[in-house]
Amino acid sequence: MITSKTFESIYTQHWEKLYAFCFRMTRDEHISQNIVQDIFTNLWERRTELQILSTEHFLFRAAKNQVLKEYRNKRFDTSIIEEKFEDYFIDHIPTFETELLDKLYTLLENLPEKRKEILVMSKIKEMGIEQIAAELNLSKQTVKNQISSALKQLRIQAAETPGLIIPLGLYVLFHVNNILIIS
Amino acid sequence: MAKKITHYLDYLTDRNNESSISSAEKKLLDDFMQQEYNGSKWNTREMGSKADISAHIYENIKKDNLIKSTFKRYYKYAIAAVLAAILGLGILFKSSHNQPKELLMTTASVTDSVKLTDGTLVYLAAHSTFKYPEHFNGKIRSVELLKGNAFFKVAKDPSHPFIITSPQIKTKILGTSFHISLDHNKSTVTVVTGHVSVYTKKQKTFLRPNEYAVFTSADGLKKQRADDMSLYSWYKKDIELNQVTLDKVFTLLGFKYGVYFTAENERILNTKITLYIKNGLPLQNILDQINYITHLKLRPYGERINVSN
Repeated sequence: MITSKTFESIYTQHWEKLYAFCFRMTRDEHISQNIVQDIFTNLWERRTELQILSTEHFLFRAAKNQVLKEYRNKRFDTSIIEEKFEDYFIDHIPTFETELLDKLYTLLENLPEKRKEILVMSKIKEMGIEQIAAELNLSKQTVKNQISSALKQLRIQAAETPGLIIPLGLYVLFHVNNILIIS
Repeated sequence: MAKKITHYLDYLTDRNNESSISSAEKKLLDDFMQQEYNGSKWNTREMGSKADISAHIYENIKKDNLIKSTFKRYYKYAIAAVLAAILGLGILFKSSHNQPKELLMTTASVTDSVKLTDGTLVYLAAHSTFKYPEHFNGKIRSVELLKGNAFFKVAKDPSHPFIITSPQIKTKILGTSFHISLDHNKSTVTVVTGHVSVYTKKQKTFLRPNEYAVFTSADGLKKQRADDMSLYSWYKKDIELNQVTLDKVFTLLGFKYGVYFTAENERILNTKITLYIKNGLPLQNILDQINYITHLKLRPYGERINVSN
């Protein structure tokens, strides 16, 4: 149960970071204000029924879901959040589960020699971007750009289930040197 | 077979929405959002005035929900205090019925300042909340310090008393500079220049420069002499501390950053250090500096900082 006094202090304590987060992801003042407003309005309306363990976690989850919803509906310039995601992805490849990369791989466009491709993601995970770049004689930035552009061009079946694969994607990476990465 | 080209993030959010996301994919999406959230900070250049946006959002929430505003209750106290003061002075005044818009200012880990429309300067320490009207009207200038620490330089205007309402105490000023500190159950007002009256529901005291009043629910309101006024320079842009005991350094950092220090033993507090605190320096930098000078370990646990050898 939240009283109007605790509500006010929850607001003063948390609104700023939530707003900063929404703005960082959307770069849209209006959407950010609306999201923060909706989160707190919702909190107030459900004040008698809610049992919150961590207020910050609860509010962050709500903000996250709203940002993703606005993103799905393309209410703001989606390239901002997408670029952030690509950067995050590239920086964290070594921490990903192999299963994730395998699955992503099936979503990437088919490359001429499938056997080659399959090695790529796991290779990146194993060797890191630096080593891959050295081996391919490319700059690190070029390798990163290749991954970025691959993430931009997933081909999925319009009817929900992600399905078969069509060429493109990491193509350029191999195009530059198609002998590589075969271990 | 219809295929669409889509971004990986778009694919993940779609799957998330349909709850068909795999646990590894969900973890990737969640970790990404969490990192972005952790790195989110206010940026005035990009986001504009914090006080304005906060007030705007809060107004809208209130409009939607008819939240009983708690600060109206503080207002009642303020008006009661003013009435008491005025009856004592034998002066009549008319309270204004159309209250101007209230603005809310909240600091997180850094200090902030605001200039009110009457020219009064308010320096708000970290982790503090201050409420003030968009413009003053009526005979009194009424503001509220709801939490934390603030230093006030009140613009001189004897015909419009400046009143600061806090949960436990009220402070009335004609034109002066002073510091207010609100702790969990202790409120302190320290005067640097000019004269200030401090009221509680039952008591009243009058302060001159270098005096402070401290209120605790156990002992009520007490007046004391402040021995070191340099502590109240925390609001200044750059602070120079020359051969000052750690005890005082910690008090000043406490005012400025809204933290408190617990020392392993008393001896530590008597160590003298020389420190230069540049404007806008994060607390951690200062703690690192102190660690570098003294080799003491300073470990933050939320708002408490543990100091040990």
